[in-house]
Amino acid sequence: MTLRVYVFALASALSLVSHPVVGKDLTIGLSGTVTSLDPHFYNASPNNSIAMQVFDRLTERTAEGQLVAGLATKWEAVEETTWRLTLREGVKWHDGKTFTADDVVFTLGRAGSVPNSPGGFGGFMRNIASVKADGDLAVVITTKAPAPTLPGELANIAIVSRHAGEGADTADYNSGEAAIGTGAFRFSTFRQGIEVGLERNPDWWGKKVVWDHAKYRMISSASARTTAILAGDVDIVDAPAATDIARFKSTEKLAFVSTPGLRVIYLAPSTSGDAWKANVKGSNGEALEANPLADPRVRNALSAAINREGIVDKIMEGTATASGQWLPKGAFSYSADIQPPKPDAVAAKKMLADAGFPNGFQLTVHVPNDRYPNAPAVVQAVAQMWTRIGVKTNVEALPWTTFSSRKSEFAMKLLGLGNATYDASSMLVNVLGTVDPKRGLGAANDSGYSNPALDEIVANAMTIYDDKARETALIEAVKIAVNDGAIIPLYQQSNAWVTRKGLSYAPRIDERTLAKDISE
Amino acid sequence: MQAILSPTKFRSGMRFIRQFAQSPIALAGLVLIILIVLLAIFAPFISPQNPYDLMQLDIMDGRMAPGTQSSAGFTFIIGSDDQGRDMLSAIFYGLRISLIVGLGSAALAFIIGTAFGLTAAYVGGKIETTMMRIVDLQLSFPTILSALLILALLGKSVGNVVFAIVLVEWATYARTARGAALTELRREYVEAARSLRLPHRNILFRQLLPNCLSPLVVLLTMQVARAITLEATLSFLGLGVPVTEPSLGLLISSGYEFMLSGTYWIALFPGIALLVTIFAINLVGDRLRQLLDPKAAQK
Repeated sequence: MTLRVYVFALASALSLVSHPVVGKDLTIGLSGTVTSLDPHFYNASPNNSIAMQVFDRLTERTAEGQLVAGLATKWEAVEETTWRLTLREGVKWHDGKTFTADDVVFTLGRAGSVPNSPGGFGGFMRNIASVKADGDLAVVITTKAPAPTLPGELANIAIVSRHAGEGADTADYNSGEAAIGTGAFRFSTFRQGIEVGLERNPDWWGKKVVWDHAKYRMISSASARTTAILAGDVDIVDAPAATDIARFKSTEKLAFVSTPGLRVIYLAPSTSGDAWKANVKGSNGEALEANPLADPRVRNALSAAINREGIVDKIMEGTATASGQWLPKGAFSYSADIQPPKPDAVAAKKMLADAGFPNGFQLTVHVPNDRYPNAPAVVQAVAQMWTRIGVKTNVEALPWTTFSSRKSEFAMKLLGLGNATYDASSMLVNVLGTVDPKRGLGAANDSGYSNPALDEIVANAMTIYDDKARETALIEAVKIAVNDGAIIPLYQQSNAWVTRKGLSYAPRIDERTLAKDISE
Repeated sequence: MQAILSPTKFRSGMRFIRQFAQSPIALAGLVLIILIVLLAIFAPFISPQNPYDLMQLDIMDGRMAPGTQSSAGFTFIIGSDDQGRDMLSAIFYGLRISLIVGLGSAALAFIIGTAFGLTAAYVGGKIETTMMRIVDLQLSFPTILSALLILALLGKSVGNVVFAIVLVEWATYARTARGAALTELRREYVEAARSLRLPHRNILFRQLLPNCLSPLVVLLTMQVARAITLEATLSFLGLGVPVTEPSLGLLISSGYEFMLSGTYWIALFPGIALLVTIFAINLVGDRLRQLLDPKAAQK
């Protein structure tokens, strides 16, 4: 207690000149909703933003996506299917216990199999056959097949402790009981849907963190975030509304940063199962025998009807780039051959007629209204374009919490993918892979897409150690998926933040907002 | 009682209208209401665009300032929204939804609530107590919360909005109807009807109901305005009508996103339309209350 008073006094004395506040508190206005403090519950950007600070990973990504050391200081492929990772010395858990290799073994046993997960981390674990501790400060990971991308995949898995996590479920993490990490901040409060409070971990091994406390307020409405940062209620907000950017740039007391992002926004058609029946009807509202969306010609017709440049210009106001695949230009396995399809209503109509729907059909598209910037407006614009080729489209906008729990019931839905592997593989493996927990495929596949030939090519590509050859193989897989209309990519989102003047934050391509990296 | 157009009835009707017209403000309210109803009815003929037909919308016409030319050739007199909807047309069509929801739900709630309240008062005893406790229970729920819950369960559509509003509003009528009926039940004409052994249905709806109508009609007018506000609120919160068929509340909600960037017209004009509608209904409702409420009439 006395120590803390001393630190407070010191901090206030140092900051008196510029900022007459006692202690250093940071308040963040977050656009997404943190649904859990269990770092393995849901692989979504808001959850990861918190997990990345309470917990550490074996490997870490910089703001630009470079792989750097985390809790592992060295990793080497000792055999074709064996990785050996050397762990950092002297790392302590928030409760004072020492971090050891056993915690890594425990984590990798848990991360892929959290019950009720709406989209988990299994995809990153699919290659792992066994994990063994080699003394206290090294682990040996054996993979089922050659796994050249394993160190990159491990950058997504938060390491939890065995002593706090054994037998704990998601609720125990949410209450804070099991949320014992090694990260830059300790858990302090979690109010579902409202805010997350963190306090600095003075013993963290990384670089010094400026803030004593960090508070994440969940503000899903873009205009409410705008108001909050203008009024000075928060110090930094993410995902500012495109319409307000000019205003932020001209406001004296604010600063604006942005970077092209990894996140692709796409429409996912439901291609198998019965979920489509409630949301797809014939052109006169009659029930249909077969799912039109199961036909690749229909999916390609829908894609060809969309004016992506118009959407990017008019609705995203230049905060996105039209795309026909799911990576920004220059990323590993981006293909220059795949350009965003030019809008062509005539060709689209013909494709529909060829597929047996000369009069089109009726379709309801679902979209989250508080997750991706302007998403409901984008889907309404798409609905205009589809209605023009004869596919009468209704739009249903839902809050993210409802949307994400009902995802698999929709015939067509708008989603975003943060591309956690920084290449084409996370879409190919997790979203488009045939659902098969044994092979670690399709962990986030809620549309029922299945293409065994594609699965083979992807599985093969992921075993190639030579980067150039792996990239070529991945691009081949991307082309197959795009031609099959597996998803309908719309655009790559840019990531932006607005801070009060005097703060600096290196914009992350993975759109996470990390208090530990914000400096003053 | 059945001869509605008897000379005395007709004369007293005319007198009532004359009395009503003595207040110029109330008269102005009435004229406004008639105008709004006409706009809503003839919306398809006077709107430059059908804002609910996605074929007629073009995203490239989005967020045009008042006075800009649209790609289809007509002028956006008061601008367009983010989807390229003509705001004027959207307001005319939005008024339709507001009036359908307002009148529809108030009328349904009126019928259900009045029947419930009258029956309770007439039957009396334990049954009355039970019925009125149900009403109390209903009234103790926060209106918006119950409506949100119902819509979250049923999904979005105009029909469901009406259903939700009826479900949360009928109890108000039930309580008013019972209060009025309790006073009337002590009158001699009810005694007389009972001693004549008229059927219950006859006593309830032919004798009792017409004499309880005054406070209920006043309540009805006020509740129409309330139902319109409630629909706008629900739509503003994103649980009212579908996004492709915006009502006034939903237009205000989507315009609210652009308020800080200078695109004021998307939220402002539907807001004014809503305000004027509710204000006009309340003016008329107030005047009706003055005339029909015996206590207010004495002043």
